[in-house]
Amino acid sequence: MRFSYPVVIAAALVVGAGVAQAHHSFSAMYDATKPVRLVGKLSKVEWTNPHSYFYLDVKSTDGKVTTWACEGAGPGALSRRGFNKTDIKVGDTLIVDGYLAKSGGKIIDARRVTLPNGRVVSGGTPGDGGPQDSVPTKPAPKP
Amino acid sequence: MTLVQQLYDSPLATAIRESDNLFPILQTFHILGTIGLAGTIAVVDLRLLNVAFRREAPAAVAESLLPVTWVGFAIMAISGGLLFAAQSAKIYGNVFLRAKLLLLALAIANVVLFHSTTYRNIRAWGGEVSPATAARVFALLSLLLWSAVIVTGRFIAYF
Amino acid sequence: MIEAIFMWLGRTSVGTALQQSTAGFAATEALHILALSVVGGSILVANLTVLGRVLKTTAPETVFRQLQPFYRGALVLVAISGMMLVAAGPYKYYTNPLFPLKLGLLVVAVTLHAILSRRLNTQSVARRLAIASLVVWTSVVITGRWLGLI
Repeated sequence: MRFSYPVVIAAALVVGAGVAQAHHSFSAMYDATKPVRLVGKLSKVEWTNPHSYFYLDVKSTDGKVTTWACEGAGPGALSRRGFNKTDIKVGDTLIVDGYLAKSGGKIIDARRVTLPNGRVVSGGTPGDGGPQDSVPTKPAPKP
Repeated sequence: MTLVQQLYDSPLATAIRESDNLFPILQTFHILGTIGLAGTIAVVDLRLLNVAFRREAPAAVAESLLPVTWVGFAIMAISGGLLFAAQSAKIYGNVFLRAKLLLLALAIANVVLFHSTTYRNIRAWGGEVSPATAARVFALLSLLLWSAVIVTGRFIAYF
Repeated sequence: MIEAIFMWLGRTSVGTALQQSTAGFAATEALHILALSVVGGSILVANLTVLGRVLKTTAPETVFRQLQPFYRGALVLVAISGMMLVAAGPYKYYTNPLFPLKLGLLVVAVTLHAILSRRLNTQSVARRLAIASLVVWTSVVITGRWLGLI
């Protein structure tokens, strides 16, 4: 099943409170009014400090493939919230929810990552006020 | 492969970059070292600008704080070097990183120049002496340059 | 009630301005670091004087008095820039357990320094307070750094 990219979820569903929430530099770098859901194949992963990066090859309805970068927290913060390097590998299909970078590039911050087995993990800093920001809750609904 | 890329790919830099806690610990030492280095330098500069410790001989203040300044500098050199190595290929082109390194070189040159010229004279000065203009210029430059190093350093993460 | 204060901070003009501006946020953080370097430097030099490590020919009372205007001025800037940073992202600080810890440690640190300034004449007491002060102030800095990393 193919997914159009990026599927922009209505702000009311994703952003929540409506007040511009932010985490350290979130608001300075990302646009809280532009939520994005990316579904794609993991082509590269950088499990690095100060930020991790997941590169997804996202296929649009017309078959065109575009690479998107998803910026996450550093390895320590991710592992403290149950997301480890061994949870993903190149070739996996991931769903990443986040917000569009203000710079206009194909970059989102990885706030929530749905792993191939359906487990949902946090990609970012907790307490942002973003969608299911700190603790992985139930598996995401099947697309 | 460029030197910067070789440094980035080295086992040590990679281990730091992919670590859970080592990188944040180095960042913590980097901020603590900033306080030790910049804090002690600032006190000496304030004396040279005749703004504080006016009754103390400038050389006495400087020499007394020098060991702490050196410890601060060692912490900064080691933590800074390791943090740079871990990110080198990614930040090498960053304009604020380049500005910071340039300002750091200027700040160090300012210290070296001061110590090899004007400082030699102030060793003879006792307390209640208003330092000569040259000393004040070095001190003001010192405060401005080290502050600029700190500010540009912080901006690296955002641009 | 506390949540309301945090949320109100986020709705101030300063808060919303910093939420929009990358440069503004970075500059505010840079100011916070510059100011805390002055505070930290003052604390370091003052306490090392009490411990007999630096400025041995100067009375501790003199060192404390000379550094006081810089310590106080910089502490005000630390507080103001700190509040601006919270205004740029209030929910993050409200829900982060390290934030109340940092503020609590800061209150203890400032109190210790104030007490120490009045007890400089009793060397044994002063030295213990100086060590405690260094430990607590260092903890404030460490907690501050790890706020964004947990």
